[in-house]
Amino acid sequence: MFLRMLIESFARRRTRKLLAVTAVWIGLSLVIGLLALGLDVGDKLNRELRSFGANIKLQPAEAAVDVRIGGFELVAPGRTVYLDEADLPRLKQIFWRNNILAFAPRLNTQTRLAERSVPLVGTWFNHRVTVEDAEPFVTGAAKVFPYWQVRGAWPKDSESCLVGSALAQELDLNPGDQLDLVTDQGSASLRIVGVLTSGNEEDRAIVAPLSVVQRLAGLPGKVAQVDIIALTTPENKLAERYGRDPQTLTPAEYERWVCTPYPGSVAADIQNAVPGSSARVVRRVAETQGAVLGRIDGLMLLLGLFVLIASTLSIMGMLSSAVLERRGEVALLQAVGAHRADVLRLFLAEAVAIGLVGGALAALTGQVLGRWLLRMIFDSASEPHGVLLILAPLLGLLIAIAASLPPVWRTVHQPAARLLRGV
Amino acid sequence: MLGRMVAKAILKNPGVSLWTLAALTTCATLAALFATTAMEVQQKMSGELRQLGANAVAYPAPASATLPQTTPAPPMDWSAIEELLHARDVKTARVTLHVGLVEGRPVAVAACNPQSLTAMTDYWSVTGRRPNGSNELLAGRRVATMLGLSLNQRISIQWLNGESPGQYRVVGIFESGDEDEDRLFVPQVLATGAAVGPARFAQVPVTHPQVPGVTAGRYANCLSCHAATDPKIRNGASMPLSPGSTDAGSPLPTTSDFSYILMSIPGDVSAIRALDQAINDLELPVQITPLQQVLHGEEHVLTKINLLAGLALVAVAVLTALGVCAAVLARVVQRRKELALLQSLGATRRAVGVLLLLENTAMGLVATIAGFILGTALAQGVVRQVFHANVQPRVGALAAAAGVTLGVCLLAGWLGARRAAQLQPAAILRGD
Repeated sequence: MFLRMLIESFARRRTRKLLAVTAVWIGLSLVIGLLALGLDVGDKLNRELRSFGANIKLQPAEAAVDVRIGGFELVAPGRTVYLDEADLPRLKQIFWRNNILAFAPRLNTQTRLAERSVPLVGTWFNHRVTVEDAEPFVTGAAKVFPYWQVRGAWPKDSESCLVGSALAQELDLNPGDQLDLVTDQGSASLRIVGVLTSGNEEDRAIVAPLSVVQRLAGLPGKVAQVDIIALTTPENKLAERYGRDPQTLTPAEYERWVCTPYPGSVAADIQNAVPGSSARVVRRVAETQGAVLGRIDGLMLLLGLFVLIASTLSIMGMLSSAVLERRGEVALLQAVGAHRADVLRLFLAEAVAIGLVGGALAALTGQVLGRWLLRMIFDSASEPHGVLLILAPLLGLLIAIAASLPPVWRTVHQPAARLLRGV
Repeated sequence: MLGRMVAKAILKNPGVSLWTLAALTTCATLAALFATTAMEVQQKMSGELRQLGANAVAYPAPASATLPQTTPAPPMDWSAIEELLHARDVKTARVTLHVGLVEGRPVAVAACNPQSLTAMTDYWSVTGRRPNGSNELLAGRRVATMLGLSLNQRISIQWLNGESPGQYRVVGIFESGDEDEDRLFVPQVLATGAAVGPARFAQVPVTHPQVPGVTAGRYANCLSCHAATDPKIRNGASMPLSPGSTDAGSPLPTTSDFSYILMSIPGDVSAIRALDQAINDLELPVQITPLQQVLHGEEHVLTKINLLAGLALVAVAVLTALGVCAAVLARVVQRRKELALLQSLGATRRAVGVLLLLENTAMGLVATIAGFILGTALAQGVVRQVFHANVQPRVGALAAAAGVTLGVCLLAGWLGARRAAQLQPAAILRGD
């Protein structure tokens, strides 16, 4: 009897029930979509922080300390120590290899151009790094220095280069011009394909492919510095203690430090992987990233909570109104002899069905919505979250019951005659 | 008459009116919350990041854009620019760089007011502490390693510009990861702009020749180059120095000092551009260089945060619109007898629709005000929790709350009016 009434209720009010399921579906899809977004937002924002540029700098351990005053530089012989370019693929073989998002080597020298000495910077632009037992990794200046503004194009071959904006202005250089560079070790003819504005020393330099600069500097296979973007966790008290004195850490704390991608522990891992190197954390970038992440995590959590509460209330409102519209039906059921408990059971069973179906549909569409939002905002993909597949029907169930129970409860406790009169 | 009808209709159905009002207030509250938060986060995050350090640097304007290193600006009078910067609430730290000798080794020594320096370099990781007294010194990790410096060690710095040697105690060693780590920072600002000539360079003793010195750099005639090449100097002799020419053929500087100002300019790139324009207008010989790396990163992250807040606002608007529509439709169902009676008394369906729209708009206005107050209060809670700062009520947030709420009201009112138009007065009044 009960089951027949339930089935009849759905069959006779197909449109109404379909609307209720749709309301739960749409509402929960948004909730699940936002939850899917929320689960990934921390990681994605962390990745977005690469827009601040390199947070770890790798140099030869024996590199000399510069004495530079307003552009005047005393160049010490220690500078002749270099890193081997061939060692760089090791950065993608360390324990934290998945946290290494991009890196670009540098080699600086001087070249003669228009009867004057001009700084020449060699780097990778979009370089394919072959890593043993792993997929090739494409990296270079375009990824490591996202703040570089290039008017024109990035160099794609070993015969093109960028010219710094200040130098271009001074020497009236433009994309398409040919440069004849001469050093003691050789010469090269490069075509300017873009004018670079970095806000740094590159604005006054020629930026060319690393292999060309290595040849002109007479340093084949050598690099002076590597700028690295690594995905890291903001430093906490443990990391600060390690920074002050590693000896104060207990073995357990040290293990925790090693197994957490603090900038310092990632830098230490890199330093161990590349012979003769010294990895330094670029504090300005690391601290800024830490500050941003620390604030954003809290902010997103609070805003997400408000969205969840508002969404739940809205869905409850929609379902409640649907129940309120059926007060006459409740009264009629009571008038023909149904007990309050029977009426409650019938309405709750309907709510359970609506909640479960709407929630199950939302589990699928919400995930799709979340992935679409992530792609739209962060331009990156994400893995489906299994937990949401279970959470969505459960949320649907709870919301539907919570939304239906109070109005039905109120209605069954009102005199049936009054309700049937429509007062 | 119409106003009275609207007021009575709202007050006569307190239950469903309160429910609709609650749904609308939720909508307005969330709109105000997200709008206020988005605006405040932009400002607060920017302010927070400003506390981490400079976002621009003021250099003396070079005579040549490409080769400032060979044609340095004459000693700079920074007073006018500093006055302008302070008037614009720009935090500054003037740094003057000198070449000093520590145990015979050339090092870059930066002189800067300790408090100003702290404000601009809060991100440095300092072992020990920052200097308080005039004879205290903060050393970069790399230069400290090179010189074998340790905390509380006393060192003497000889100045190439002829000043008396300075005696300092190392009170802190810092890591920054940038070129500052190659420098020693002292609080005492030395006399700047002292001309450096042959006489002033003369007889600077070289006492630490283990480091082979400095090879042919741009200081072709500098002390360290001679130390590297002259065996007599390696043995601890003194030698005269004089300015020469660079390997580029340009004259060496006539001063060993170089000053610049680190600036923390409130706002984004446009604020820096505005300041640069103001400096240009005053024809001050200064060049403002924005720190692109910092600015680009900040802008990028703030854009993403705003996008997320905007997206959440749209999602909430859609959800609350659904809720409000449901409430309004329930309101029509509950009042079907009243609406049928109005129609039977001669009211057109259009007039009934207008009545429902006006009711909704009136409730929307009340909800907007209540929601703005509530949303601002919630935003205050959020911002206080996250940034430990207060928020200001924003006109933009009021506009957002009003726009979203009234939009939802009109949509729900239109749906309600359509529903009301489908009512059959005779059947309803008969009780069918």
